[in-house]
This record gives sequence, structure tokens and C-alpha cells, in this order.
Amino acid sequence: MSLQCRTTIVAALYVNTVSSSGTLQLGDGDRTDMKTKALAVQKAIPNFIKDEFRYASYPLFFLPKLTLKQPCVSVNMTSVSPWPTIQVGPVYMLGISSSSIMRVGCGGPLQGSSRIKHIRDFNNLTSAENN
Amino acid sequence: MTTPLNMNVTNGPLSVGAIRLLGVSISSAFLLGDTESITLYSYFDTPPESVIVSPLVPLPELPEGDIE
Repeated sequence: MSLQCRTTIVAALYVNTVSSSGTLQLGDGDRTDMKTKALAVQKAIPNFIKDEFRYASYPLFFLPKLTLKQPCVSVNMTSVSPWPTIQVGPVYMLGISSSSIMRVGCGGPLQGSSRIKHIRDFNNLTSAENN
Repeated sequence: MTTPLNMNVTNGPLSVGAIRLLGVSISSAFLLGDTESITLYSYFDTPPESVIVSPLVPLPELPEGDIE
């Protein structure tokens, strides 16, 4: 694949927060790989026993990623850009978070991945309140 | 037999006005520019054990460490 990079011109850029491996990239780059694993546990009664919540306990975190079956049809792609600039007005962004990226510029292949489990344990709170 | 696919792209002039964006999160991307390819995955998995309204059932200890 041949890619012709263009120059991006941004009038103004405001970013409030970059957190949790978020990326703000100004400029060109090569390949980007992003990955997140999260396991958010909320318990009404915090009776945690050591590290009882492990990624390995949940198939979501180790099942293979779904991809297209190989072999795919090979594609010869060429991209030409007779106009050498991308003009963008002011950009206002509140937050970039959790292995996400905001990039102004040209770059190679970008891959992101994310797996989140979200467990809430109310610990039989209703009966505890009744007792 | 699969024959290779030829794809030719010509990018026209591009001018964008103001952008106001609240957030980019969970392995997502906001790109101003060119890129070769984008592959983004996301999983969430809410049910079934994401909400437990019951007494605690401790999970058994695992012999091996976390899988990377």
C-alpha cells in the first residue's frame, strides 16, 4: 500500500484532560498499538479477599480476537492526494482516555483493543438493610 | 483463485470547520490526517455476573498467574 501523507493545519487545539494511557500526538508517526484491560468491581460491602478478581477467571480476557478468515483477497491500494493540506478549524476536546488516541498528522497502521468487565455486587444489601 | 484487487483513491480538498468533542475513550481514535489502516476492537460484557444481588461466593484461587 502506498500512502501519500498530507499536512494537517489546525487553527487552535484545546484538550482538557489526557488520562489512562490516552495519547495526544501532534505529528507523524509509525504504527500504533493500543490495549486496555479493565475489570471494574463495585461491592456494596467491601469484603474483598486478596486478589479474588483476576483476568484469568473470565473468558472475556483471554478469548481470541475475532478476525477475518485467512486468506483474504489481497488488495493493492494506492492513495494519492493532489491537495497537500487538510485544513481544520478550532478543535475543543474534553478528554482523551483509556488507550485512545487523538492524532494530528500522518501515521501507519493503528490497532486498538479493549476488554472491560463490569461487576457490581450488591452483597445482598436489601436483606442486610432489613436486618 | 482470488485475483488481487486494485484500489486507487484520490483525496480531494478537505476543509473542516470547528470541532467540539467531549471524549475519546476505550481504544478509540480521533485522527486528523492520513493513516494506513485502522483496526479497533472493543468488548464490554455486562451480563450475566456483572450485577450480583446475593451473598458473596468467593472465586477459587488460580494456580497460574494472570494471562498477559
